[in-house]
Amino acid sequence: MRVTVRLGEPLWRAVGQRRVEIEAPGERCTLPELVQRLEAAYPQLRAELSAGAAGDGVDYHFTFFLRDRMVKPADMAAEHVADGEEVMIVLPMAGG
Amino acid sequence: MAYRTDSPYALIDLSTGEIRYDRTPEHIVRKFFSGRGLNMYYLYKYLKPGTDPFDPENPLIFGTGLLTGTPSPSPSRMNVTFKSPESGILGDGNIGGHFGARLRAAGFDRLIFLGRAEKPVFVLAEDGKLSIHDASFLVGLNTQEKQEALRERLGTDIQVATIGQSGEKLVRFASVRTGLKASARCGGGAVMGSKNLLAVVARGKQRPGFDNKDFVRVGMDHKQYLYTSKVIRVLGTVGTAFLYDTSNHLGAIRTHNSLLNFFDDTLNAEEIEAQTEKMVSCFGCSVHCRHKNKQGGEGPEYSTTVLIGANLGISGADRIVTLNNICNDLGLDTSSTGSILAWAFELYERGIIDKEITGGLELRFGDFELVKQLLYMIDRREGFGNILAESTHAWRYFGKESLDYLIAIKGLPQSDPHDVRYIKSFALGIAVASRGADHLRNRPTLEILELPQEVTTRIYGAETNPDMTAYDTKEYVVKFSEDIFAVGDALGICRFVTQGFNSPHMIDYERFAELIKLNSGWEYDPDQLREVAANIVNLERMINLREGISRADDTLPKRYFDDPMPGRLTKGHRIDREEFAKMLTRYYRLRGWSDEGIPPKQVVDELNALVQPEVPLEVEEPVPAAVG
Repeated sequence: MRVTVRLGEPLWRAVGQRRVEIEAPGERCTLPELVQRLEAAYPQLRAELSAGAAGDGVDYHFTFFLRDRMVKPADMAAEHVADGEEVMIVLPMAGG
Repeated sequence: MAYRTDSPYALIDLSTGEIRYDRTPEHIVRKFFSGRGLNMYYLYKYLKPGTDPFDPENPLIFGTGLLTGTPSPSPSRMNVTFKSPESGILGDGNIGGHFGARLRAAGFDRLIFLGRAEKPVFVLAEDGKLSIHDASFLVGLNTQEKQEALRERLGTDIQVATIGQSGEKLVRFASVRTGLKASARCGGGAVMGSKNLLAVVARGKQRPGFDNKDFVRVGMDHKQYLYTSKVIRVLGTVGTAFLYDTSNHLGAIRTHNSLLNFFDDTLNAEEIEAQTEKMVSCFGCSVHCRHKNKQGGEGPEYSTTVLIGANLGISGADRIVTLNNICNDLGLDTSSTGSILAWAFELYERGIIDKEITGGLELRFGDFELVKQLLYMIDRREGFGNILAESTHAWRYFGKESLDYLIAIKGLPQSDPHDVRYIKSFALGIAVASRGADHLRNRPTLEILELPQEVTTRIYGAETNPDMTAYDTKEYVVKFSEDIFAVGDALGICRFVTQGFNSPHMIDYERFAELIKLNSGWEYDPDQLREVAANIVNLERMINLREGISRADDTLPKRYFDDPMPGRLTKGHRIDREEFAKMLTRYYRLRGWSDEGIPPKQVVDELNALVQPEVPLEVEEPVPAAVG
């Protein structure tokens, strides 16, 4: 399977491009599996995505857009991504 | 260590030229700090209810924060406060840049202008003294030209707060500009213009707090702490532009006067970034969130990108930069400009207004040249521009039916670029914001993050529903934001580094308290800081109640109740009237107000005794129901 991952700020700067293609075996995988593959392909993303001193896993500041829904890191495990889909990872701030 | 615990100010009667120098006593400063807090104290004190905003007796107050210009993190902010010619209630703008710090360097925390000069003047603040000068050479110049003309005459070591021709011509949403920054909201530029006050100039070398090595060290520590935040790093790289992509993807941006809720990708952060020469900062700030754009101006901010772009149907980052720079040079609030033009465009599409009123102009979304033309017409109050310059008051020309399509609250066009039909706390926030439809008074941005429960409970002090589309418990998140933002404004610290606006990990009450102690020697705990916030919020409510505001005014544009959002992830969301009313009541009760939104008599009496206004608000209600 092949999934397109759109990287928002500040993630894309770590890899130098705003869209990356991630391949995985089978026809679908969970979001945490996708993130693992993403970090394997682009190790520099690990520091950006991780919660750092606050704990393991993806920093809760990030949000995943998957199909017609927003998914928070805490809810990632139950979410699946299928071949040909697009996932967007963003810092959903609101600014002024 | 010797601290300065009172607050030097001057009262300037522009009608007579009389200047009174004084100090706000410590016991008052401790109740309101400074900035927005003391500005409200003086607005309540000197403003007589019912005064026309363009009457010479409307006070115009420039007030720096308690920590403005000190070694604190992001300490550039000050407030410009008055009765608003847009809304007819309290008007207030917050401004960064370097003017606030320089005003303190000149020896003043606050300047209060009353009266009207017979001829155009500028006021120079220098070494603890003020002088009033002829400003006929500034008449008709735009905001940049005025600053350049003053530097040519007085030297380059000055900072200037000024207005454009729009302010001179009383455009109701004219801003006050300094450098390339603005106190944009509520029409402060028009109030300056009404007083024939074309500029305030500051020069001085005082550096409050910098003689205290501990203060300097702690300030640096706080700045270092902030820089560990991903959000701060992103703001320093691309500014607020990065917010567009997320909100647009979600379908939560104001588009075509909120007929739509999403737009095209030509305004994405990468497109704005391509228009950016470099990032710049305000006084003492390590964030660097502002774009110096390739067309010679600063910005656009995310709000401007949405309100001048998507809301008017204008594609292309280069075009948005052009319109942003024109608004800034002319001294027009981009939030009101984008909202009022979009309103007129929809009214034209619907046939509610026609070429007879537009002077032959065909109004349509997406017409860049038309928008550009209208900006200059507003600035000069020419033709249809003279009507648009009236802001929300233009309904008198458009007819009562036009109000059904106006995205404004309490007469102030909405500044929040978000379509608040989705996130219900945002809707409550703009409904109760003390200056009208505005997001910087209380927007609980953390709602978007849907943070883990333990994090939000720690921040808000109550368990709240993490679902951003729910109505229940949203009074807690709005009140939390309203309180901490009021304290931040009174201190002069930027909203972008204040806890709650962009991240839970910013400057919080504990860090505020540490800075206050280093600045003034005063001990405050978080509860005491919340009391200061309550003083400010209650006083603002009292100012507005005195002007006739009631519960009925704490509402939303009709469209937000009646029309579901049309597309993307947010499709179908709108505000339920009954749920909104319940949420509003819960907010009032949490504030300790009556169900009609009136603070308790005891609170009103205490604040009246403290401020001793010329016309005190009188309330008869008993202490309202307990929080429930």
